[in-house]
Amino acid sequence: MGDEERTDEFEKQLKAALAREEAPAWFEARVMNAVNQSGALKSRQGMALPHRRWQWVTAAAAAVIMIAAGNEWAHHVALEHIKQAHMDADQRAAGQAAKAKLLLAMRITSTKLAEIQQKVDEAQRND
Amino acid sequence: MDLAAAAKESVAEPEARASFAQVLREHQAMVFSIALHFLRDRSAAEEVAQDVFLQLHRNLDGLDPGRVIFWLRKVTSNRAIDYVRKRKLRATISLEDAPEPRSAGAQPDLLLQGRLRSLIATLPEKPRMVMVLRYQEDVMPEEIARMLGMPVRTVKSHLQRSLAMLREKIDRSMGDIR
Repeated sequence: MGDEERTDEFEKQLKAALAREEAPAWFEARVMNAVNQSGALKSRQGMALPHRRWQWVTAAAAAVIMIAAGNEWAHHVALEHIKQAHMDADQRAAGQAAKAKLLLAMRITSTKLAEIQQKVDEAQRND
Repeated sequence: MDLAAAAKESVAEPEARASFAQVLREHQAMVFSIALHFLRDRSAAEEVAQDVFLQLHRNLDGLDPGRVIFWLRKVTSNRAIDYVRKRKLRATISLEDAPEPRSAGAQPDLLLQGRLRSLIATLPEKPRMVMVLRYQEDVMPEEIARMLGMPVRTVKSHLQRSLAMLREKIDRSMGDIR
């Protein structure tokens, strides 16, 4: 057998070894199913877009509400501080008045006690 | 998408679908076999072949019908090589470990072909794909070079060296059957 013939025979065997094989019977259905699924996925992604926009709107609305609520709370806290300050001033005034009344009462009591002491002393001297 | 575009798509969709199904039917054996002979794993070959057709489906609109076969061979080759590289599925059979013919009494051609497939599986990725495209698909070296993005002389060199190695191994294990 010549070299050329042997090469031809060897290559013929190589071609036979690497001959095409049929794909499995289910392969076509498998690919079409995968194609349909990828199409359905695209559709879902397309539909998901408005949904995502709504998510943004909802998130923005929530943020606005939270900011408004925060401002309201800060305003409420400030008012409470002012009220507390007013209450403190009223309490201080009432305290001052009470202190003045107490001093007056003490002065009256002191005067009365002095008068009583004087009368007791006079009575002892007369005895 | 506006209504006109949606209407156009709904009319074109069944046509494109039928066209894709026809291409799939015609070329599934080619794509599957390139992947199978390269990977030597049926389930991996199915996975690669399916990915190739999904990519074809995405690109069908812009593809010249006369270039579909070239495109399929090119994409299948590259995807199969990527598959091996990503999964480190290098041929685990070394030249020395490749199985010898089991029975001298069996049909010599079938034994030889099985031995050849085992030996091809031991080749590095690029030379292996060159052999698959040349001997499965009968693709000329110039076209293989375009598909795999390598110089023609490199393709020819891979072919010569691979053939020499295969002949030597076959001669050693099975005698002079060239």
